[in-house]
Amino acid sequence: MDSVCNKMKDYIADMVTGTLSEEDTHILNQHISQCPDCRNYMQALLEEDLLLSELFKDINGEMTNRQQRVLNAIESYHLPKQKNSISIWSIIMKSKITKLAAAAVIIVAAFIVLYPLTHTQPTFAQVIQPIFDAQTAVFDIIIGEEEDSGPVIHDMVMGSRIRRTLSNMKSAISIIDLEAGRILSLDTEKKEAAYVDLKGLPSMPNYMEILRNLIAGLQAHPEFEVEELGEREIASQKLIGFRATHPKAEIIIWADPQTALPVRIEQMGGQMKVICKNVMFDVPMDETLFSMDVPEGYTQQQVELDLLGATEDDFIEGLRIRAEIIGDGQFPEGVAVEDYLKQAPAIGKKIEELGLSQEEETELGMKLTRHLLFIRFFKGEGEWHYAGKGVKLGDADTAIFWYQPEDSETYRVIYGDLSVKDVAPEDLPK
Amino acid sequence: MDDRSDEILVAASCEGDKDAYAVLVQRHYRHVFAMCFGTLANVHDAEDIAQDAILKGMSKIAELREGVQFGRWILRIAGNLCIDLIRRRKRIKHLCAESPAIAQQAINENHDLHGAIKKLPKELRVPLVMYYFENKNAKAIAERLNISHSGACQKIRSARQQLHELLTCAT
Repeated sequence: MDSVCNKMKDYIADMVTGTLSEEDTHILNQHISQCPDCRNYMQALLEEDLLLSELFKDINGEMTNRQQRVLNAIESYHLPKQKNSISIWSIIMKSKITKLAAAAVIIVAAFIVLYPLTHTQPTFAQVIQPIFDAQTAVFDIIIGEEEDSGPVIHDMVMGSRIRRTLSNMKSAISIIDLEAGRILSLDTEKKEAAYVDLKGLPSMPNYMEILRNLIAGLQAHPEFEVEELGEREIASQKLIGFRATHPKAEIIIWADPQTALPVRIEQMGGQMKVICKNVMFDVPMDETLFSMDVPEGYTQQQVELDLLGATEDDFIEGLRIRAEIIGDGQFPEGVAVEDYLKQAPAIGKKIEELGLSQEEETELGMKLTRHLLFIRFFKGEGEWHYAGKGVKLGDADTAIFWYQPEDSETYRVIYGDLSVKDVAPEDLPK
Repeated sequence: MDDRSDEILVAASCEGDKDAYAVLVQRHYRHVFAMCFGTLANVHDAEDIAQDAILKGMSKIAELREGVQFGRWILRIAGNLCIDLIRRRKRIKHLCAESPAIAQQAINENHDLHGAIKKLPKELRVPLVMYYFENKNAKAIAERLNISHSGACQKIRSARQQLHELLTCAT
């Protein structure tokens, strides 16, 4: 086969695939009429073309079913609402905050049990004496019920500083300086650090003083009562208990009957139950663990948190975010801090999946923090009520949350479409 | 038949409209499958990866700046997923020695058309497969693969010639 035939082979291939020009087709036809090799070659390619067409016709025959399977997969696939979330950003107040290094939950977790319930005088001195005297302490905190397998907050306390970690968010560490009113929040995985200034709260006393207030300060209240609970075995340890109550708070202290050292403190503050267990006092600790300096190699950000600014609007915005972005259109199971703590890792994962910019993630974190602070430092009369579990965002007929603001005769009722109405007590949802 | 443009459908999909995305799928699935089959030369793998690409496209739709580019964009996703699969398979191959049975099967496959297609280099196989899926329209292939018309014609021609070589050498 000569060079002309080689060229004609290209023409043949082009002719078979329908891409040969008219002029070249004419040249090819002339050559074919005189060249049996090229004629055979063309015949072979035409036959193969038929075979290929048949093969792809077969594969194509299944195409409709194949496509339907994909369409079914789409139907059951969760579509991340990226642009929806962006539309939320447009209504989120723009702030100068550059970055929240840790998830909102860490910031909120930092305030748990830091808030004095009441200020009164000490009592049952023998059991609480070690708390007055201790220089350091270590304990685990559980929010809600112990059996709920929620996260455990591990605290190390030295003077006015606390080093706080969470069992379900291993990379997050908060170092809280109560005297300076400042938190250093560290993410050991991302090597990010953020200073959080606690604006809005009154200057907080030394942590030990808070504990003293918590467990001993109830006495001065006219309705204060201490009840001896006797001996009980808790976590294979025989303990002696005292229940101290007044109308707004209740504390149960379990102590070692031999040493009189408290090992477990249970407290009810508002609607939040806090269990403080495995308590140990005067444990030797390295002071560097409480350093408020940013570790080497960490990027640093500054965050200001206005704690008194958490309003009903902030709470509602958090509800919207939790339903729309996190809950696939449904409100969460619960809005208590302990519910949020339990969901924290899943929420963190979800936020990561959204692929938000740093600024968007910060704003989301801030919004969720303020949402949680509304509940954490709830200031209404009596208790708040949540009934949003399983309710879809947009359901205007279902009340999901109601509470009585301070000095108000009516209740504020939030509905599934996040509208709010003032409702008389007798008209509240049952 | 929904006559909304890809651009409008992409915008609606970004707002969470699954129906709009389904129309895009009906419009482009065939090309995505063809790309996957062209790259992987296996119907089942192609179906799996095409589906993965469609779902990945759905989750990343908000990242697509120009809705009008959806066709090329989704093909790029599919192409990347195919390459990922090939890489994974290569790694596994390195770990497990190829068994004699598989080697024998590869030789026998020379005798059939499917096996010959499989033996074509990927850069020729993809345009060839797409050509037959696209009703032999070389211009459409050029657009989808973002190459010139003459480039597409040249690749299809080379593919046909090499395929003939593979089929005739084996007999």
